[in-house]
Amino acid sequence: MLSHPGHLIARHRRVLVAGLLAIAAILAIILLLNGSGTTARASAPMLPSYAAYTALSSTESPGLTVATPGSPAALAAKGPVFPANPPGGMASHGPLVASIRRLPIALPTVSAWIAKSADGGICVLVSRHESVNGTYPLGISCEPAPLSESGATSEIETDGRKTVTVGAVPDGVSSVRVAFTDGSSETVRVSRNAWALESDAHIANTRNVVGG
Amino acid sequence: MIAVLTCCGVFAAQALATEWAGNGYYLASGQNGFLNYKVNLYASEGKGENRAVCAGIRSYGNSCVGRGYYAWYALSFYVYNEPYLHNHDTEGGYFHGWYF
Repeated sequence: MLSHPGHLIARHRRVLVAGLLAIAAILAIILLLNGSGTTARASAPMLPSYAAYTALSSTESPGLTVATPGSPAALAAKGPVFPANPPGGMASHGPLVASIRRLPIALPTVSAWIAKSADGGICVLVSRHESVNGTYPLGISCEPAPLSESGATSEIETDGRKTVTVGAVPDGVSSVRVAFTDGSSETVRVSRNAWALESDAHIANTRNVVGG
Repeated sequence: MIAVLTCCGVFAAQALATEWAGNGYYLASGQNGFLNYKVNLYASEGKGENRAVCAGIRSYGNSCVGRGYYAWYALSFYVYNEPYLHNHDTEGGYFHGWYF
């Protein structure tokens, strides 16, 4: 049985319209991906993840005593003590004990550590090898999530001594340009995510230098 | 029984942070803010409202951080002393301080 010629023309038209609509849809998707999509990707910052901090995956012992302050273990410690079961904000925003790793720094009189924070950020812990009134104070700084490209820094001050600053930056950062509050500046080399310095002035800001 | 005691012990330990600065606690740039009396503490905690802050214990030192960061200064034992905050920022602002 032969089809009516009018039905054939109508069917061809429907196929043609469907084909044109399909082509239009494909073109629209391509334009979205290569047009506004590219703009969105370019403007969104590429934030680092914990994988960008190689120091966090170190298998070296952190060498930091974790104990209840005032306990025999804390009193016997020959260095700083990270409080076991800390209260308040240190529990919700502070370092996760299991993630604490030593941060290799060039200052021979200071020890430093890096850790993940309880709320997904990054922490830097710093202590001088010199005791203050019979204890080794531990300075802790935590940047809340999300992780930033600038990393985290921590300064500690003790009367009559220079300010110690330690920073942790993501992989790929080779040095950090440090501007001080007195107007001076200094470039510090980064080694395995870490940089450190002693200074008379406080730090006003830092800028990471990526690569060579 | 042990689990209950352990649980209660953890909650008791975590409930000991005392907020001594907050609710509009203002410091000008470079200004210190002291509790003004001594307490038993082993750590000082500070957080600025978008301001750089130092958290310290008088006679022991302090720990300073940039805007948005939390700062702690912790000792290995309790001392009878005074926690303080320092506005580490170039601008005045509001701060929160705790000790435990």
